[in-house]
Amino acid sequence: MAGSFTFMDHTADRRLKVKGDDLESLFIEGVKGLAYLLQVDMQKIHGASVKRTIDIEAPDTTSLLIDFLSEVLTYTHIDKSVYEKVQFEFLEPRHLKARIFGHRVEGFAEEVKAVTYHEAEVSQVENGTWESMVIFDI
Amino acid sequence: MTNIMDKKDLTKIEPYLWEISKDFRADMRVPAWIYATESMLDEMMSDRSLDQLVNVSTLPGIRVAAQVMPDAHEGYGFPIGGVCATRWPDGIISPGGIGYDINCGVRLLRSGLDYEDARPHLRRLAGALYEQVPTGTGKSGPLKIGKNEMDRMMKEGAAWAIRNGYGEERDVKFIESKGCLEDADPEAVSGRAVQRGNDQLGTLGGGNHFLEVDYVDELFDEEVAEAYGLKVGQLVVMIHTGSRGFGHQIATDYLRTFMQVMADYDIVLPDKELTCAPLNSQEGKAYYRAMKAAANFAFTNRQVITWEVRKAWRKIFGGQNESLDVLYDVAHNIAKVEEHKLEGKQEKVVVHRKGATRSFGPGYAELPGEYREVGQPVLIPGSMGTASYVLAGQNRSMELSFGSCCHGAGRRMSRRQAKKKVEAGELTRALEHEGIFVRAATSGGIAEEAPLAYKDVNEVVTAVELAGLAQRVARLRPVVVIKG
Repeated sequence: MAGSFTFMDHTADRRLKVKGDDLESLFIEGVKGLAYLLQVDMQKIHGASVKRTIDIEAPDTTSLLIDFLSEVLTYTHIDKSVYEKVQFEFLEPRHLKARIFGHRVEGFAEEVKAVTYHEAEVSQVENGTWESMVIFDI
Repeated sequence: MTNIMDKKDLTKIEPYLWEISKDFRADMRVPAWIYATESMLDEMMSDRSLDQLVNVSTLPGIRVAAQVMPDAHEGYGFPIGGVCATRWPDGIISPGGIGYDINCGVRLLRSGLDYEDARPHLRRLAGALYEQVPTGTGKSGPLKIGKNEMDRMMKEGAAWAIRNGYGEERDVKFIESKGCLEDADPEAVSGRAVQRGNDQLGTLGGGNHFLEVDYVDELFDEEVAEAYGLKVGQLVVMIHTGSRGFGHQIATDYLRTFMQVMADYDIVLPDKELTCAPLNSQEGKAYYRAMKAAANFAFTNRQVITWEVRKAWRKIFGGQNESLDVLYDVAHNIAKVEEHKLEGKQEKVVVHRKGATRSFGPGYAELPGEYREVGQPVLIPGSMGTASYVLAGQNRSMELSFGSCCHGAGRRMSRRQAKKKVEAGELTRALEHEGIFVRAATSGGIAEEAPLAYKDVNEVVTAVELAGLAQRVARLRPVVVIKG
């Protein structure tokens, strides 16, 4: 399954549009978009490998996406690492369990403070694609 | 994204104050107020600032009006530059109305040095400051403290740093709330927030945070300037940063908590990011106490940075000219329970300031004796390489804006656009040609914060002065800029 992410304009923060053929792809694109913001240079990641497990529940799928990305961001800062890969054990509309994989880094390109709920809305468009907006507080 | 509002929806109710009537949208509980000149208003209408302001006016318990300052721009939920006061104790508290960077704020240090005398040493000073003060994201500070010390720091604020040798006793007197919000509760703070913050005291961070050496370029009120200890040509140091990952995590944690309990309090909102709970609810009280811990972290952070700056200063100017005194330290992302006069009587309210600075006028008991007669110093950082201002709070702000004022120049161009338009190396060379030495953790950081990405700070402070919220005291020009 495939997906994509695109950055759109926002006066002060970063507005990311994520799309996926299914929910998993959508969530993975969110992680990739976050990694893109954080990385100084994609080619220069040589730090030790890191992994974490995320198991969360949320009142709805939109909150689940934002809470999941918030978890990834929290571990990004605690571990001083960029997480780029995701393996889902399961992804249900209000509950997920996943392992995330990344590398330690010397510093980040951008100070991403938080993943916000503002404008986020996980929805399925006519051709069956899933999409949402995600605004990062910079 | 553009604004859905039309100018005909706005009424001028004072020369620099515009109102969107409560009738504009059915869910508004109070009107929305905008402090601006007409041209600034046009600019605000180019993004979603005013729609976001209307959303704020729907919050349960909001008093008088949802307000934005002239430096307003689109945020995520609340507009940046926003002020919202809610009824105490059953009105709401909203983490989004404070921001993820709890107690992001500004501290100004006053030196005994004159710009002309220091000029030959400024390049070396830039190097020494960059070496002493960790900048950028993901960098550790000079301290890594354990859980017990973190708990003490959360409760004591800046005084903790001073007790541990990172400052002088007299420093706390010149910090808003003396550098400590009472009743901060470490138990309300998650272990993850502690993990994110325990190596970040004394770090500047990235984004729009900076450390700047400026000189006083012009005085607008000699008497107030004298009370603040400012004179033309004097070097000062401005520190702009907040509670780092510690505060970001606390806000993230409580937004999630509030999201889960809002329905229990029958709260329905037009935007999830406005998520809130009554202040007197269990969750509201816990957040407020955790927010205070983050505010105290930020006061401590700016105190430890002051210690680092003093070290660099001593290295370059050691001897009789080495003293740096705290002129003032004030938050611009915070919520506080304050008493204000509403409809003729004193009332307690929860004032949310999101990208707005407290600007108490003359006579307030909390102000240090030296400033009580002239009003609180209001510190307004401008964009990199332009100008910053020291203002004095005015009593009109107590009548209109819950004792609040603007917080900076205000962004007008996205980071992406700025990076496209500005080449960092070229900008650094151009600034150096003007006598401004810039050191930054990343070149992207310089381009994103280029002056063209911001509104004109002169116009912003003129508007708040004409609206009566604060008056100009001094203009500062940068000579050294350290960027995250």
